[in-house]
Amino acid sequence: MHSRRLRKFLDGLGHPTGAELLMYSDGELSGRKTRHVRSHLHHCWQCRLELEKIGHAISDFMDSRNVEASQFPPPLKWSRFGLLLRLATAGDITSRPLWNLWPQFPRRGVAAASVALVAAALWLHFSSVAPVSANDLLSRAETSEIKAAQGVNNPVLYRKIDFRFRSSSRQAGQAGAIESWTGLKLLPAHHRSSAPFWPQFESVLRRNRMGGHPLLSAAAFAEWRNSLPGRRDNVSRGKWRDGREAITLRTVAHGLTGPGTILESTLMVRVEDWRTVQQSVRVQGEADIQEYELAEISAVVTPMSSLDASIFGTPRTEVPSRPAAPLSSTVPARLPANGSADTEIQVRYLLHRIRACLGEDIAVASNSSGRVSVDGIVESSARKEELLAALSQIATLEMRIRTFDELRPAASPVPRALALRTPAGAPAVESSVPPIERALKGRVSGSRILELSNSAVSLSESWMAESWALRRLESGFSAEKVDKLSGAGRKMLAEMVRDHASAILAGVSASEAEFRPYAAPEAVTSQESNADAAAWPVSVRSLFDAATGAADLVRALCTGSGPSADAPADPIRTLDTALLEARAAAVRVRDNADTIPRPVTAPK
Amino acid sequence: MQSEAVRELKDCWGQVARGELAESADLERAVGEVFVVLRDPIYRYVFSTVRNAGDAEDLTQETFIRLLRDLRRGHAIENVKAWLFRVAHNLVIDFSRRAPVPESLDAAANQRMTEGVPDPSPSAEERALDSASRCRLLRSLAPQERRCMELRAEGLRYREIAEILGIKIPTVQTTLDRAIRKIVEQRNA
Repeated sequence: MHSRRLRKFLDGLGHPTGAELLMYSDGELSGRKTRHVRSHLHHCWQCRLELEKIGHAISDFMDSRNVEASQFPPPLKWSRFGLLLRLATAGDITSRPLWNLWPQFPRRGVAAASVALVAAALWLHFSSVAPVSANDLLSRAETSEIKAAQGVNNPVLYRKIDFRFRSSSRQAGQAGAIESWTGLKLLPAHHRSSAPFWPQFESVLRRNRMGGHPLLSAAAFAEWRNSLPGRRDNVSRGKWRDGREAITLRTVAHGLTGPGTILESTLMVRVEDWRTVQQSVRVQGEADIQEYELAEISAVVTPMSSLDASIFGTPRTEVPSRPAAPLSSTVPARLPANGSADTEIQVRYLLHRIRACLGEDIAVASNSSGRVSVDGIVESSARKEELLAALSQIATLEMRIRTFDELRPAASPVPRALALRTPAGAPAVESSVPPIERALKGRVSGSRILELSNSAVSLSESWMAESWALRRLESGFSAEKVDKLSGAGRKMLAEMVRDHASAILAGVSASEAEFRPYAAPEAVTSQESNADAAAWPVSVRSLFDAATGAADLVRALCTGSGPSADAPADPIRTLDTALLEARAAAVRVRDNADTIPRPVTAPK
Repeated sequence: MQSEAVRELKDCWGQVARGELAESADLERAVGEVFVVLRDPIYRYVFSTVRNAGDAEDLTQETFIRLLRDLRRGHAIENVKAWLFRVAHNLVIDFSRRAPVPESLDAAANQRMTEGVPDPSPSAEERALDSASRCRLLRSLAPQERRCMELRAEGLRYREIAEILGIKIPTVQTTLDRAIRKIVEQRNA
């Protein structure tokens, strides 16, 4: 007892070591030793000085470290990580060991019995058991699309798709083809089809949250599937039409009814490369069940630079001058009695019906002698035939439609893109963090932000193309020219205006619905319309301005580029306001389409 | 923020372990969120050894990819932060065996200059001298001392540092003490 007191007294006199002082400052000493060192420091200036030195040393180290960190900071954008994560997710889809699912059970006994049972069950049901889950399958298919884009600068996926339609009310089915260009880096999907049931299918896709996505897209399928209130999935193994192994995901929707609703959809993914090769969609019609089927015919990934800009709806206001070439198809000109204005509107209307007004390189003009001519370059001979067939009913027309092959024999309509790669050492294009991402960060996940941005950019490109088509229509038909139109001509003009306004309205409304949940709850009011705003061409111009302004804003806010370089303080609210204005303008034009082509003439 | 992301990841792992979370999307999202919180500390640690920004970036990303893979395999990770540092440390050691590491940060800076990347270090003479002396201070530490100091600077306990580096706790104590004494000597010199 006595010796213990003595030892304690002597310990109290001894100084803590440097290591003990460091541990004390780091909070690593035990409670008793901490109390001892603390009481020692109360009366020992020497140790307090030592402790201070330790503090300075730590401070020096941290300063040096900070200097180093400022010279070699971590990357601001870890742009590749998202992709790596997804690739890792897709690449590691292997079944988890059963051991890890039952960590709490005695492993050997349970597993031995279970393995036997499971093996028997697997053997019996092998043909119907999916090697992957529905989500894993979709994830792999999405990753396959990303992988396809690797190594190609600004890649675009070009696909030819076999498109079939069947209705329960008709005996025979219909068939057609779709050409699809999908920008794999924030570019929109662009489709072209001559099939008469294509517009109807597009509206089905839009209605079921698949609009704006590429066709045969696992992402679109996943978005629709996730939006369902209830569903039943079935994944099965089979073979595609070419005999190669494939996995099919069949999702049956529960709880949704009404015309235009997708009741069931099937996605077939080729095992070899996890590419989606076929999709079928079963839709509730007005009084029938409609079935659409899309199957890939061919696919190629190509750089954007090798494609004609008009494919993505890039507007062209004037026909570029081209070298004179022999007319590939000329119809003897015979002017109708009601003049060239009616002929021109009829031509535009026919082109509008086959969606040749959305940025395709086709121009309609009437010359001084009153002749109407159509001048254009199209992608393929099939498209050329389609145009010629559509316009053949107008006798008094000069047509100069050529394919790329005819124009430049050496060029190929679908470029040999796969051989092209980004040059080694080319500087990576770095852009700032998009304002939308900054605004939504912390409120929603990064993947949701990306999804929102992609969807918005895609939709905006679509309504931009429609806006330019409307603008071209407006600039081609001045008030004087509209005056010369017959009643039928005016009706055609009104219908085209209404179609474009409706398409703009659909795109803008869809974007609005996407962003509205994240906008501030204050009421947003649009500008009041006035009488002049409903008159041709003022209303169309104001719609064009509002829609293209909103599209520019979407691009600027969602991609961090574009004309609106200065990010607003509240990007969501700014976007919401712009979309609301565009929507109001579109509604105004659509609802007044029948009266709009009646120009306001100045009082005499 | 950090603890929230780590807690969410643990919840996710718990669900995976119980077989409740068969989907990869949630796990991927959780790892993504942990990445946002811990990528810079891991990067700094990796960079302090490999001394090359590109390699540090690759190894940092690989560290988190391994986290995802391990979680998908159902492995239990109790201390996510320490686990990440341990994996990063192992990756760095493997990397150092394969590729020569630049002699110093000055060498790395010179390399950047020759690559045509503007040197962000201050141009004023006194700041350059200060920077050089700080580089010397860091270079005066042995690799193991530097690693211990880096990990401690990231807020890891001695026990965690010992686990990460595969050494005993008393070794961590003496290594840190030695490193501090070296810095004090540098300061006095």
